[in-house]
Amino acid sequence: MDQGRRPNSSEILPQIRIALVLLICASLFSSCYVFRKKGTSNGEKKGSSAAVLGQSLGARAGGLNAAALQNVYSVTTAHPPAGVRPDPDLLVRQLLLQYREQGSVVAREIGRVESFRMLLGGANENFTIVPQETYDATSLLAELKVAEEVCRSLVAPDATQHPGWNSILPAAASDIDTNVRFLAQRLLGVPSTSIEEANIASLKNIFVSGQSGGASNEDYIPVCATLMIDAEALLL
Amino acid sequence: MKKFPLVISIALFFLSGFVQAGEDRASALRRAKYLLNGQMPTDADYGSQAVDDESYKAAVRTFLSNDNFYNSVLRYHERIFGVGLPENYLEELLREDIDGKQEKFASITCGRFQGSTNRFRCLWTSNVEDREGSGCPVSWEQPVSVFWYPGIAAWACPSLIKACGQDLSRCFIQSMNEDEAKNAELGTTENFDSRFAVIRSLGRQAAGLATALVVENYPYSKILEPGLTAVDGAIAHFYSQKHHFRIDELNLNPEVTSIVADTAFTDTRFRLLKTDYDYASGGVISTFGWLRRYDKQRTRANELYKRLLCREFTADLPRVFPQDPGNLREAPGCSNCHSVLDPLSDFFVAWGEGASLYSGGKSGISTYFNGKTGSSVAELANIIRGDQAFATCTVQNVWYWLMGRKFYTDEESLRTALTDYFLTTNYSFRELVFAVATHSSFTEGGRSDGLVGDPLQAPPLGTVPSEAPLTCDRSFTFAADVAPSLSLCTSCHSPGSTGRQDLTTEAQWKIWGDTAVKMMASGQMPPGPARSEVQTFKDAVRCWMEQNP
Repeated sequence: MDQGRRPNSSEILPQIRIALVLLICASLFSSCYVFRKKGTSNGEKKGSSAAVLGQSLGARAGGLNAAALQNVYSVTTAHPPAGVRPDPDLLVRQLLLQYREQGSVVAREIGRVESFRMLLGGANENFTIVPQETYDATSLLAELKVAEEVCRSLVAPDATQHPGWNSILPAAASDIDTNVRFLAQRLLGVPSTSIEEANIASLKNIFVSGQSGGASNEDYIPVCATLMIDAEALLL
Repeated sequence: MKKFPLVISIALFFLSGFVQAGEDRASALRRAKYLLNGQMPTDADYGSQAVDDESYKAAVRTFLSNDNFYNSVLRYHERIFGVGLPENYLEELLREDIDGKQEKFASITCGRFQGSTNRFRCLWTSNVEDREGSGCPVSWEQPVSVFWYPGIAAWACPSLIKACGQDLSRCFIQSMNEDEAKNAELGTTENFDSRFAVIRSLGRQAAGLATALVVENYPYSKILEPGLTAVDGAIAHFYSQKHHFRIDELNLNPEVTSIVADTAFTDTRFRLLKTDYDYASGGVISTFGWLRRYDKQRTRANELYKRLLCREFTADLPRVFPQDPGNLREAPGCSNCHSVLDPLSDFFVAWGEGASLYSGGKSGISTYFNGKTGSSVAELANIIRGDQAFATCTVQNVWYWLMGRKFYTDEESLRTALTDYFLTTNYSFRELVFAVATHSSFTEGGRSDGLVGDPLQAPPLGTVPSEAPLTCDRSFTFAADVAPSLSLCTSCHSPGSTGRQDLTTEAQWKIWGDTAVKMMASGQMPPGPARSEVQTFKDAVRCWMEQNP
């Protein structure tokens, strides 16, 4: 090929077309990426992509050091971990966000139970009162009230208070076994196979006792609330 | 809604056997996912993430990069630092008659007023006039949440956002756009006052700084980085409004205010902000919330000692506490703590005490902690993070968070191994969390009591500073060694000063020298913070007196 020859227009045009196609694709992909990045996964808005404003903070910390970590693993202990109570300040918020997109309805729902936070053993706004690390029996009524309120929003939302929300129950209200097992697994967070049949039966009894006429989603509120206030079962 | 009998609830409160010991990885997965991400695992998670060690470790790794990790770490740091502004400070800031704060703020109270309608209504109060809105102007519009700070959430009609942009503060904090918003509904969980959002963010600024460092995997030692702070939308707004809370007197690095100008009020996550080296700045210990909550210098020093070094000052009070114990650095029963605490607290002089925070910025101190001298908050921060007790304390705190208990005495080698690993990874908090959450102690299925009968002692600190023995290894004269520094005393102790000894002449120093040395050694004189030149002067006087009795 003559190195000095200038390409003619018939040779250049296909290259321009390819470049344009690539440019458009890149633009589209980057737009999609940006759009996804701006989305919210837990309901909170994200800040700018800039991690550090102003001057550089220098190098980041290290990553996994497998060899050094083995040294840690080689040191063992005979003492098991202690049971940890779910943080009462965050319990309701985290539970809702597992099933609901953050928005005005979640905000209103949290607003309804916010006043009970202190009664549930949570910290006050300024942490001059630290959260309780154990359950307090005197807060049972507060827990029950909060549990009922939150359970209603999960299993039997109504169009006025919770516009746009559907029940999280996986089956029709008449399928009690499926729904009760689902609630027990999701609220307690243990594998379904670890939940004893006797406990499932107890939960079904609660459902029956609250039932009036045909089964409805609302009848699952006592089941859900009972699970939420079972302090021992919620321990991590 | 049907009410179910409380008796049944209580009876079933004691449903037993839900948590099965023995399935170690399952228990660990449940605990790790909830503590790190705030969610319970599903059956599908158990099927894929608890089948073997590798799948469990891979799951923990995903928890550390999950978006929810931010919230968990923020909460952890709120507890660790105990930050948050005292209630009386909230009240102080909400007064309308000070600082001119009322000039630019609006408060919005929403609710179902006067009961008859179900419409949610909002009352606006601003410096301009009161306004009342009633529902979205377009009937099909659904209000959307515009921001959500913990404990407070606000939502607005899309038309309002369209009119004001995402940064709603342009509408409801500044008055110019209120006309555009007057027909729109803007509500909150209860009531919204822009000052509340600012105050809450200021309260958790230290926690936000540490959390942002963790999420970005910067070395954790940078929580004490001079010139580093953290801002979210509310704090950026606070810094940008010079008329708020006398912010222009807050001794802020001017670079900060210029950088944050474009941060939207709706940014609820903290971002790191680094400026030039600032002598009055040391990361978390110079954040507004820390300084204002712990507003006495001794309190700041005490909280730093406790929270960042996991050590306590233990009072050893005499049986009969004297009404005036004199100098606490020397008084029996007090000196053990105060000989360390007081010089440490002097580092904070640069920020002023209590309400003087606004007009801090004093410099020229010279003090010491843990055998190292310094003259600024920045130097103190470097002293703290340079001590291995800081790393060990971080390990203890993370361990307590994940394990629910302290270390036992016989677990010292494990604490050491974790500390070494933390240092090996250049203070990677995330790797430290990973190391604990994948350690056999964490994946153990059993659960113990949270009370540890024989807890491991606090991490050792370097040698507590003690006064070196004085050696007068040359000849000292009044003219050459004492007279040049007399101005330390003679601004007050001069002829004719009422009730004060004259210390301007050699003859007077022959009389009062012993007393003066004692006063200087105890820190009682000269008044003000400890300074190295006073100690040098005191030593010179002592040597001169020994050699010239």
